[in-house]
Amino acid sequence: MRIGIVCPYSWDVPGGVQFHVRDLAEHLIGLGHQVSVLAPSDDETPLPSYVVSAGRAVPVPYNGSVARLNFGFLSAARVRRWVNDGDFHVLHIHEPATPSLALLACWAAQGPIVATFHTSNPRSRAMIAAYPILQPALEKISARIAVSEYARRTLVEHLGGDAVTIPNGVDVRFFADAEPKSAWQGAPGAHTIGFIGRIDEPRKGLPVLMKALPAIVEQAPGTRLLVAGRGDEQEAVAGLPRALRDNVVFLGMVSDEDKARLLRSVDLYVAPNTGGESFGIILVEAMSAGAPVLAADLDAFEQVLDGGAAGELFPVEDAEALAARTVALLQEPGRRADLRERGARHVRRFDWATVGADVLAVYETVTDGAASVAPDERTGLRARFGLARD
Amino acid sequence: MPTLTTVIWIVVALLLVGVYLSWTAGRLDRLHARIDAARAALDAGLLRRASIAQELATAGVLDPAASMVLYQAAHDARLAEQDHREVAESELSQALRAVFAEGTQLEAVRAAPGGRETAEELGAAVRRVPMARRFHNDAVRAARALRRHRKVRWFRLAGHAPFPLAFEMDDEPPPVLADRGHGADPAPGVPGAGPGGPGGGGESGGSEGPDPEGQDSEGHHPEGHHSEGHDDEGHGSGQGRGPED
Repeated sequence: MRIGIVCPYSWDVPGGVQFHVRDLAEHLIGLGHQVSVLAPSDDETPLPSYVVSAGRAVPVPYNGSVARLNFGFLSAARVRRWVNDGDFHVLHIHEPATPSLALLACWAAQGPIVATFHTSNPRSRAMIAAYPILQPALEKISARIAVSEYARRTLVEHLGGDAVTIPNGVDVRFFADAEPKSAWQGAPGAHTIGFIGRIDEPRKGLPVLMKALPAIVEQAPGTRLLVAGRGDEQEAVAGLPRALRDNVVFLGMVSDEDKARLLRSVDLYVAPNTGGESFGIILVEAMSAGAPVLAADLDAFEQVLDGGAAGELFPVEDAEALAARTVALLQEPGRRADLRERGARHVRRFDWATVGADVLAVYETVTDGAASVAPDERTGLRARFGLARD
Repeated sequence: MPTLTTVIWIVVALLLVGVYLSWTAGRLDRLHARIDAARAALDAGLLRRASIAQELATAGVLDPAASMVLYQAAHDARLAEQDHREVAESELSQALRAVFAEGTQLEAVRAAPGGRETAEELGAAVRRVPMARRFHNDAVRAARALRRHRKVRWFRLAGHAPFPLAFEMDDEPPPVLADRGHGADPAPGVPGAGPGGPGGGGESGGSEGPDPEGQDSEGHHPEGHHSEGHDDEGHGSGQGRGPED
């Protein structure tokens, strides 16, 4: 099958959607499909052979933050040419409701179009204003995919219609086969807790964990907190009593391999996020590596953890509850072993073998009985006049 | 002179209205094409499900009572008139749920020669019906929203196309076939290298090839563990996946 995938965000900037697109493309190529990815990128950035650059994304303030977006005639022309040259059986666009490449592709093409909605943003004013413009483009999408039941709910509320839920994929084996590192492994009386995420991003919840740490160390002495992620380390430990600062180990940015090894080594993975998550891929990665998971009870996390069956939950931003659950888990090896086993069983549905098969099932469903993707001639002004005379 | 300007303006306005209406008609036309394609996919999915169910019912791997229930439901679903289609297909869903209420029936199917493929096909078929139906009904909803609009009704832009109807049925698959997490779909191929964590690992016995429905034929011979298609080891490695999600 010839598949065209449109990634709305810059290829050279790391992010959840980009990784998802990359892994999906590589999985599909591995199965023998022809895949071409259209993504914004700087001209200098080396791109994998399957990626076609759509030009540089322009930073624009949008919806409260600076987004890097593609628009204008040049981008539209490149999208059109890519659609024309690719002769795809199916077009898979990501995040079509943001003003970016995905929307342009949706505008420029016709035929079987699949769209994945990643974020579950609350409805923005721009979207309400743009609704009449957006609607004709979104109407062309034959199949919508939401990454979680939560994302699907917001999608249905905002745009109407329906979507199927297919979670983000994880390469389970990559994490399950990682080699534990003895320096990061806990021992009785010296447990290790893992945290991965931006240190200076309060949404990731490190401050909550820091608040809970004194109580944890008091009841489980010798416990070390291993923190992997970018940010100011001095600032992060500023609120901690001096005696406890040795219990926090900062690892900085870690590579994929070290991330897997870290998750494989720790006695407990804690996700104290305070909001803004639509999926929670890190929890799936932790479970794949066999780490017991304790997470804040955000909607998205609750779903990823099977309502609390595959990992434990605590009330969001409740440092006391976090400390109490952490101590209880560290003192009960039996419960942790139970969570490891449940987690390992639960993550199979997130493996690329399963997720990729589901995505392919969607492709096959929309291509059944439909022509292949072609440029939409109706958008050209001349074509429109031509049509008007019919 | 002013009359000429007025005439020009009227002509321009009419032209613009004409362009807008033709564009709307184009939109509607595309939506109808989308509904047709979605309906064809849904029909194909339903037919596929009924055929596999019927095949299974006549294969003699299930007990006689279950075989009869399944055969009757699949037969009715295939031959149902358009008006009774939704009811007949819903009854097939119910029959499948009743027959595969416990996992032992599925085990029995898998144990039969060639049963593993049949079980996979049935699993794929029952999972695809809700998918196809959702896409179909989504297209129907979009078309109905546009057709209810004044401009479409006043100018009869929809022509003679019938008012689209959603396909309503009970398409809930049997839990043992729908559940992607337990038993039905193992972690990628290699035996013993399942996702078993340090404390777990008992569940890693893979039973099928790496991709139960993506590829049609290869990788489906009985011990399909070591089949070709899954060269994804080391995939994702070595490329800067940052620590943040």
